Amino acid sequence: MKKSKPKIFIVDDEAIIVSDLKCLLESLKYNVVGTALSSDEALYKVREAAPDVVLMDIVLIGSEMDGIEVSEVIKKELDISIIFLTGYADDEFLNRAQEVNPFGYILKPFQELEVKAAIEIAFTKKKAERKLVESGRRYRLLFENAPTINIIIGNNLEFQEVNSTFIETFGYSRTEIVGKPILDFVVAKQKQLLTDQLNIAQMGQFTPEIDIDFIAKNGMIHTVLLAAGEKLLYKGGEPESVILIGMDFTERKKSEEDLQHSEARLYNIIQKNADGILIIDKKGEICFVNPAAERLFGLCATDLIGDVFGYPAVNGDQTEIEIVRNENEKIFVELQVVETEWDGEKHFLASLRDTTARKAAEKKLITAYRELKITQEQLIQSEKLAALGRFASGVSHELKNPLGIILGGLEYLERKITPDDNDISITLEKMKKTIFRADKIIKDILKYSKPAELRKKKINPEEIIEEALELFKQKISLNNIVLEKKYDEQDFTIEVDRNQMLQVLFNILDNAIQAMPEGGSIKINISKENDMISRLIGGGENCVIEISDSGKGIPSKQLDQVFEPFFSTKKKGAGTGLGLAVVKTIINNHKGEISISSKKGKGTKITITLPINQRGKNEKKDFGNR
Amino acid sequence: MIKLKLTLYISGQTQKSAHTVKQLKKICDEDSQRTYDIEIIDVLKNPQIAEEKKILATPTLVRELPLPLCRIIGDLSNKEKVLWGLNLTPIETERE
Repeated sequence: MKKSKPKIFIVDDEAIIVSDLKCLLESLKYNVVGTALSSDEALYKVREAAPDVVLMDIVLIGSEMDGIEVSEVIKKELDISIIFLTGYADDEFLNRAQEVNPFGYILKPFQELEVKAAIEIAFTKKKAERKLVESGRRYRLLFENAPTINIIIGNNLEFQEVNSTFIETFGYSRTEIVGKPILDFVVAKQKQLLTDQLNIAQMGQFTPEIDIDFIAKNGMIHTVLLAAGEKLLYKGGEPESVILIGMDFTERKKSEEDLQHSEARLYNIIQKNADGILIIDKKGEICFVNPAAERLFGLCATDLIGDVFGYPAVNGDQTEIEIVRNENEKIFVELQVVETEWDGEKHFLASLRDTTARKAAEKKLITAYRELKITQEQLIQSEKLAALGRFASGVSHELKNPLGIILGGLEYLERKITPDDNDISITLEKMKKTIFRADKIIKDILKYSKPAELRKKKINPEEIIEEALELFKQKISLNNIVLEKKYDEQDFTIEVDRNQMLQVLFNILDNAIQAMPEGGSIKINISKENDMISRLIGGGENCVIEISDSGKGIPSKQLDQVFEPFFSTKKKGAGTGLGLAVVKTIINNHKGEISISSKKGKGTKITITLPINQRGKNEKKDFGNR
Repeated sequence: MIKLKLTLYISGQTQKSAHTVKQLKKICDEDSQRTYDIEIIDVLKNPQIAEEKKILATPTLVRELPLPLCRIIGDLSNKEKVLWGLNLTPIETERE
């Protein structure tokens, strides 16, 4: 880069000196930008010419001001370097000249070298000074305008300087702060901490950042994260002041505290929740329990955490489980599971609610309701039967006698007619059949309404079925019916009234045969209800007899009614409508159950369940109807 | 064919236990790829086993063999979750 030559301005009251000097300078390749002979002219022209250096005669004869006074103005207003020109070294002048802080003196008469040296020195000094001022200005700007709280502390821990962020944060003006000890503005309990920190910083050693609570003008406490002693300013090799740089963390600290506070609050809620809470990982291992869960399991958290509770295979989000605690105390627990995140991974949050008391109450209610319903049904049934019984016994007596007389008359007439009276004979036969039918209806009504007392005997179910089948043998083969029997091995007996049981089987077999006028098959199965489930629920004491036909079936609408008295699916006059009603009464009297299922065109199945005769096993009442 | 040994822990011979057993049976019956050997333990009758195996609640189903041990809690009515919990296909491939 080409070095620029300094621009020079000359002030002297003697025109000849000005001219000489100008010549000299120009010969030295300086750029003389102007000259003046008086103070007024100088002030006016210097402003215009903006030189780098002014060569100023101290004595300006005929001017209002002397050179020193003019220099003061120029220096102050324009910051231009001054070199004084003087013919003699008067102490008084020199002392005054010192105050302007000139860059040099040139003694008259001028020596070429002397002039050059003085100008070069002045020029270089000026440049250095400008640089220094510029860098000082930069740092000041940084110090002043940085968003951090900047403080300079002196050796007595007094404020030397603070920046605008400090002023804005704490609300003090500079005059209220500067010169005062920093400790006056810090909360009492932290004074010692800050003092120690600053002492270390002053020794030039590294100090960690600390939180310091400062008191603002409005009395508010501000927490400032302070990096002290990161920078040191030296003067003469000794640390003189320390720069502190701080950040106001009041807001952040407050929100951290709020967060901690709300976390503590939530934790408290979980700890005091009446429902047990578990956090389970995806393998079923327990990661967290609250006290309610500890109480449910009767174990403390340290025992539970790390144990495997199990992967919750829950339909929807809720199920019921049981917990067996010490002494075989069993409690019922409603388990609710939702997915959650725990330590960044998928986990399950399980809530456990003790429903033991609720369940007991529910069970009581259900039992009471069921008993009520049974009583009600029994009441209705017995009322029905009583009415029917009264009616039946009255009517049957009234009907039996006339029927007997009619039958006797018919038999008499039969004997009287001649063998060739075919028409009359057929008519008589029809009349007799009708009377037998009427008699049967009367007997059925009596049976239904007044069941005979049970005369129970232990019997093998296979035996009684075979006995019934024996009587139907002919009918079965006549009707082209195939019989399929499947009897499980029978290591049990049932306790039944033989005659009544035969009646049941007759009715069912008769119905089956009638349902298959074109032939078909009858299947009879005897089995013991002995699968895992019935064994578990304390069952296994039932004998199941299934009799199915391959007939035309019963429409599902009518299935419900088949056990009702006077209901029949048969042609009018073909059945009394009492057969299955009597069957049901008999089975129920045996503490058994009867059910029917049917598929149109495929056949009908009757299932009879009777308790197996086993000592002391019949009194399980837990499961209602069984 | 893979053979699995499962142990089902129930408490008491209740209708609920029966239901759980039924569910398990159904799941096993429907699985044509594996055979199951099922043991049922009533923790009321065998409290010492429950304690030894750290059974915290019932119904709990444990896959004993082949390892790894897996444990499920619940009424087993959700077949998919049961299989998942037992670490069995069809979900197994997605599991790890």
